Amino acid sequence: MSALLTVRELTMRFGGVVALSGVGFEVAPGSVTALIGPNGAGKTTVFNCVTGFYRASGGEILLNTPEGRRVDLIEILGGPFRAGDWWSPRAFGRRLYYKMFGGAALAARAGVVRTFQNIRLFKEMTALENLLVAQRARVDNAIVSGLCATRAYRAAEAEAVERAWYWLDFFRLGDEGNRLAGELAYGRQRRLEIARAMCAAPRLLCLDEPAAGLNPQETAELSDWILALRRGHGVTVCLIEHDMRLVMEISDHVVVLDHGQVIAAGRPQAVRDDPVVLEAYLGAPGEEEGW
Amino acid sequence: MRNSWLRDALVTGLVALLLFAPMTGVALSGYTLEGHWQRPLWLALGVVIGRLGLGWLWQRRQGAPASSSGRGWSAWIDAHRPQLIGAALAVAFVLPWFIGKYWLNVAILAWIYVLLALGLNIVVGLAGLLDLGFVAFYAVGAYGYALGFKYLDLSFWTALPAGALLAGCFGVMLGFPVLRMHGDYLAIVTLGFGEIIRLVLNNWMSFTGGPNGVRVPFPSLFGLEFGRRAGPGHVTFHEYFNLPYSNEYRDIFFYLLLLVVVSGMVFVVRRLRRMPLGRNWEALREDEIACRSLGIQPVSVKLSAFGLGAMTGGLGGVFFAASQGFVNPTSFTFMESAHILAMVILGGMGSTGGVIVAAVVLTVLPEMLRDFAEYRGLLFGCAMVAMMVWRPRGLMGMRRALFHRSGVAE
Repeated sequence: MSALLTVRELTMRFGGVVALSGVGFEVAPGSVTALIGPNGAGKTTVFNCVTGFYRASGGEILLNTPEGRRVDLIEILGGPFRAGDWWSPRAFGRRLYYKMFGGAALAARAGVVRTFQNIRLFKEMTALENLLVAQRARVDNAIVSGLCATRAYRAAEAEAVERAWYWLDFFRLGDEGNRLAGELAYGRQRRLEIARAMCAAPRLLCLDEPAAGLNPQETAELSDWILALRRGHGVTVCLIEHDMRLVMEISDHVVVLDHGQVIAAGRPQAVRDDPVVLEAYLGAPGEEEGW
Repeated sequence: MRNSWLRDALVTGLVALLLFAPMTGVALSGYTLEGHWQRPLWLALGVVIGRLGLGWLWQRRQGAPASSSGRGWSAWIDAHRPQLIGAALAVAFVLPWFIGKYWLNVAILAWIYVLLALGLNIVVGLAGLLDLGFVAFYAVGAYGYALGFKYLDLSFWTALPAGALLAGCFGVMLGFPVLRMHGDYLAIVTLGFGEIIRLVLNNWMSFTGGPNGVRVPFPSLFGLEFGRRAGPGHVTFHEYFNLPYSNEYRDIFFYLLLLVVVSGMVFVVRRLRRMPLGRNWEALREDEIACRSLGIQPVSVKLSAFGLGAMTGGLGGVFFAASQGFVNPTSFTFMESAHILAMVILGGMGSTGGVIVAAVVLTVLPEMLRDFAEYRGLLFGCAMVAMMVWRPRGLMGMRRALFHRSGVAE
């Protein structure tokens, strides 16, 4: 089974600071992969590279869709022109197109949808409208048919509203549909953000610390939801999380980052018992003596 | 509590007395100084009373329950919305027969401003892109008609869509370079763009006529002209219908035409707000990064907002040119942009009804206050401050679309 997401030799430099060096991992389709590591290890940087918010300094990020399409998640961000572009009009055209219209939006259209560590909802819009905005690909975007309210437009709109209610109910937000997103309680905002991401039809759902700020009960619900998403909706999940109980409970594969490098990867049990990981989290025994 | 505001009021009064005494208490008369000691005393007394009143208001506010006082009023408006809109439209349609020539012209100007404010509302209120150079598109529309007539012999009816399209193109052109800008930076660039257009119009003597302006013809109705005498091969309106000549027909016709266009625009804007495009505009205003994470291309969303806003502005420009019969660059200064922006902000960003009310009020009020011309700016400023204190979200807040579940019994 080929991987849904392949990250190879991913390097990210901010000026002189090397945030990631040679990070590589794979996400199998239908799996839950967790990215863990101490603060500042580079987890969110990996996420930003994968979802197109940062352009990686080097390496490769490939998304293999089930239909057999291969998307280069770095090329679509529109990198600088290379020598080869100047005598290949096709390559030049692609690069120019991606330079003008590329970016994170294209990554999302390819199926990589994310949530954010600090919740980013459309606060002055209702919860339901938040979910409608996310259904970009499914609604009728044409201006004329919308102004005339043609039958096709109304059908698409009704379906979008229906789907939005479905996801609101799924995350037990059914009563909050017409409230402003910014007014919801914190835990509900977290859920709404995941619901919104689901409305964007993701293949790979990237959750950046979904359990941050949730109480133990909400965290338990969250893990049920994530498993249900994977089982019932064919979504592959990649998440960053500090709550080890949640990670151990739901993930199939764990990747441990420290100082911008992968220090361990494997099944949750194996990773938990790995001395290298313990060292990264708790500090090496006798580190104080140092050199 | 009561003591403390009494003391505050007395201290404020004392400070006022100290300030006013040298300013108003001593007047130079010829070569001698005259004392007018009662003047600062009266002023200070006014200040003390004012301070007491404020203290009383604050006290009442703190004591009052948390629910806002404006609730009942807006709820009533919400409940009677269709009737209110119908009544307003009916009044607007019969108005021109009752108000006389002077006020009819004011009303025409008011509707042009409504058009402009609706356009700017798309850019600022919905898409959240602060545009301080909106007058540029207004100018493009107006000059599009004026120069189109001068060089290409365009009639009003061709200029209407052409001017709007031209302004829309300018909007997209401006949109492209400023795509990566937000807030203050965007405001500065658009401000510059507005000035550039005005300066080009002012200085390109050979093409635009510079400060001398360009003459613009009045629209005709199905080939019927509204002048006293028709041009060669044309018929005038009053001759065709065997009426005595009066230039009031012209203004009434123009008013009704404008009203139809404005109503159409209101309909379009209200629809747009409920459409995916309008939702994307608002989403972009709320959070651009989240938009990108959902696959929404900020480029196209911003360009569409700029383009449609500019188109509406251009439409307003064509009407303005036709109503004045003459355009020159002095009509398109920065003050005009600020005026339109004030309408959008006073009306409540994004709220269509509020923006219309604000545009009408801000055009008609200065006319009513002609006698106070010197204090107009002051009153305007006071109104702004009062608005920001009591209704920071504008006259009418934006109403959100509510959705019901279909097929699920509540």
